[in-house]
Amino acid sequence: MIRQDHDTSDWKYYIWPKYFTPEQCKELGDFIDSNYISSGDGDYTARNNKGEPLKAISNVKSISYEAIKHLISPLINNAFYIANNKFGYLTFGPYDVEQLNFNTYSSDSHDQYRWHIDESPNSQEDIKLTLLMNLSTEEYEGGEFETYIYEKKRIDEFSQPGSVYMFPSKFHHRVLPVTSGTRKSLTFFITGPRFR
Amino acid sequence: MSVHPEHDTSHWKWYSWPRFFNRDECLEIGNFIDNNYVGLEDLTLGATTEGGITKKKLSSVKHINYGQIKHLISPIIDEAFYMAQNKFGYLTNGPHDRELLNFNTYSGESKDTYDWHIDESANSQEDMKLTLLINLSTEVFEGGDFETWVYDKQIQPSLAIHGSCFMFKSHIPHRVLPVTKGTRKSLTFWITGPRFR
Repeated sequence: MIRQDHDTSDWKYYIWPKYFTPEQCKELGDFIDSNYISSGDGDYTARNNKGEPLKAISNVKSISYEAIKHLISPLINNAFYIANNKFGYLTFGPYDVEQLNFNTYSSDSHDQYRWHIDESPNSQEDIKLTLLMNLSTEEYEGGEFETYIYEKKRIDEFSQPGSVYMFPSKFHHRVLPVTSGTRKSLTFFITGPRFR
Repeated sequence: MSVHPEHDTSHWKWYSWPRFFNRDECLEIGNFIDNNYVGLEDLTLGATTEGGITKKKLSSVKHINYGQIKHLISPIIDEAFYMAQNKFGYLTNGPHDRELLNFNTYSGESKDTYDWHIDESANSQEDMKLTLLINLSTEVFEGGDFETWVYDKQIQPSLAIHGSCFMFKSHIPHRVLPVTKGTRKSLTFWITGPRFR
């Protein structure tokens, strides 16, 4: 018999509170600042129906999984375990060529990321889960992360630096404007064969 | 040969059939359900927010089995399954005779409405993949616009016309704005399938 707490069929998120220490957050951020491959994500950014970008972030740096896996592979391993065994998803990778986004939200420009969903431009795959790592190293205000599944929900636990949050990418989510300090997050997308 | 751009349906979110049924057919289907429904939904049990606020304020929700009503609606159900499989690329269950459809009556007198929600199965062995709405209104109504939310909130005007059908991915947030005058009637069929993976 399936125990109630083993039925994961209605799961909508998974959280690793304070997974990284402040030192690890700093190490990761510094490593990306020294090794990123490109800055800005151009045409692939989420847009509304009028074609306006929904992302107002000062700085987006891309880095390959290959370059950074020595620092994050235990987490990615764990996330794929949860994706496969708990969410029941078929997945691709993780491949070395996959790109992660390192987003810096500055309060000077009240950076934010309006309601959007994460979708692949590739017709042969779906983005299934979005994994967010809060790598902020200084105090900041604002920048709360919200999801909308049944209703709007603020994810307070993710506001703590070092915390990691994973959720199905098809649901709307946003980052409210950062009002003081700087908020940094790293995003990994878990993709797989199209949902059918 | 390359895929013609308009044959790439991988980004589709919905599909609509304007005026699929004529007014007489809407009347016939509505009357048939009124005379043959198998149950009434207890509207106190509808979708609620985590704070327990009811999202669904309708005058009545009547249940009818697909087996009872398929002689009247199988052409649209056939169409919908074709689209579900060939255009959305989904694996599906059924349609089985015992599946329940919901016939919703929104009255302007009580300003009936159905706030933002998603459609989900309570059964862990299936996912609701697509929601098919059939506008069976037979009288003129005001309000009752159907709205979806994918990046932007967007009214779907095609469903406002009686006899029209609209199908969309069930996880997309959607709502029916308050009916302010007259009566709006809609019939809902859910296309389910093996869990998304």
